[in-house]
Amino acid sequence: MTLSKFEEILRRFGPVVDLWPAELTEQALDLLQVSTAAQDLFTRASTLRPHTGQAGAEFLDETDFRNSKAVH
Amino acid sequence: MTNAFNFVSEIHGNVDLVTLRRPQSAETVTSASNSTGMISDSEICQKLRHNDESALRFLMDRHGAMVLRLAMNVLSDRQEAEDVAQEVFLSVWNNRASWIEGQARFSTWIHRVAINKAIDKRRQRRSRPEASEIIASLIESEETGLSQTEQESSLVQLELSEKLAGEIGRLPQTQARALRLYYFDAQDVVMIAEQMETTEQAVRSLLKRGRQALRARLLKQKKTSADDAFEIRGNPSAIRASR
Repeated sequence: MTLSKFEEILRRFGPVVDLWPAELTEQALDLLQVSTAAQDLFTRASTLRPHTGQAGAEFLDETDFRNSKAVH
Repeated sequence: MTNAFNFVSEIHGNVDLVTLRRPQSAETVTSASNSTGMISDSEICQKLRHNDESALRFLMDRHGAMVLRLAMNVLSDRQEAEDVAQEVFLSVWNNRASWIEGQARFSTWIHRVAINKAIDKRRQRRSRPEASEIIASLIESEETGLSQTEQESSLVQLELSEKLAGEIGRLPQTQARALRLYYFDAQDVVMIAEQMETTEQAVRSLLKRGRQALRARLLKQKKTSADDAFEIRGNPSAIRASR
């Protein structure tokens, strides 16, 4: 999986892994385990959105996600 | 591992606090604890390198909530996330001598450790044999054809658990023992292998063959029940006899 694809997953589904599409989860976790850039993105997303246990997209729109990058 | 420290996770409303409690403590970073942000992680790590346990507590106060949040996002399980947080800070303590300032920010490093440990735990969870699925399917196959109210269902579940235990008892001794340890004592393959003084591969094989035998028995019983029901439906005298 590419970093941009991982970024898209985070943008669309948020940082709660259980809410990611099942067919992409393992590939995304593989990348998350080895890529410091992916880990930084995941941490930033988690900073903004704590685990709520609720289904649905975590980020409301592209702007919301992009703004998250400037926070940490 | 937990001899030296007793980690306690406390949840206050929406705020997660992972605190460290030591039987005997010298709060040498007390002043720092009261002024988060006044002292850098690097300074705290210096104290940590000199075996200052209160420095670890300070780091937990500062980073514990984020570590827990990252683990929760990966695992979606509070208990497992708390286990990961505990492992992360134990790792910090155990590697305090090898921490080199300047390689990475401490916060960045600890977040990465948390993510990796959480992913490892998630994958360990997945590598367990499909215990819940098997039990569920066994119960489901038993329930097929039964009509019961919701009020009765918990009783039926209990009866099925007893039935399952009974069926396991009819399996070869080693298979039965492995299945009991796995399903009823909640032990994993490694622990079972130790108890049975055999290899993990052998335990997996025992569990697999045991489950196959159980499935076969239950399918056979289900078929017998269906045949009986068919005979009763097609034979008025059998219906009377069954009453």
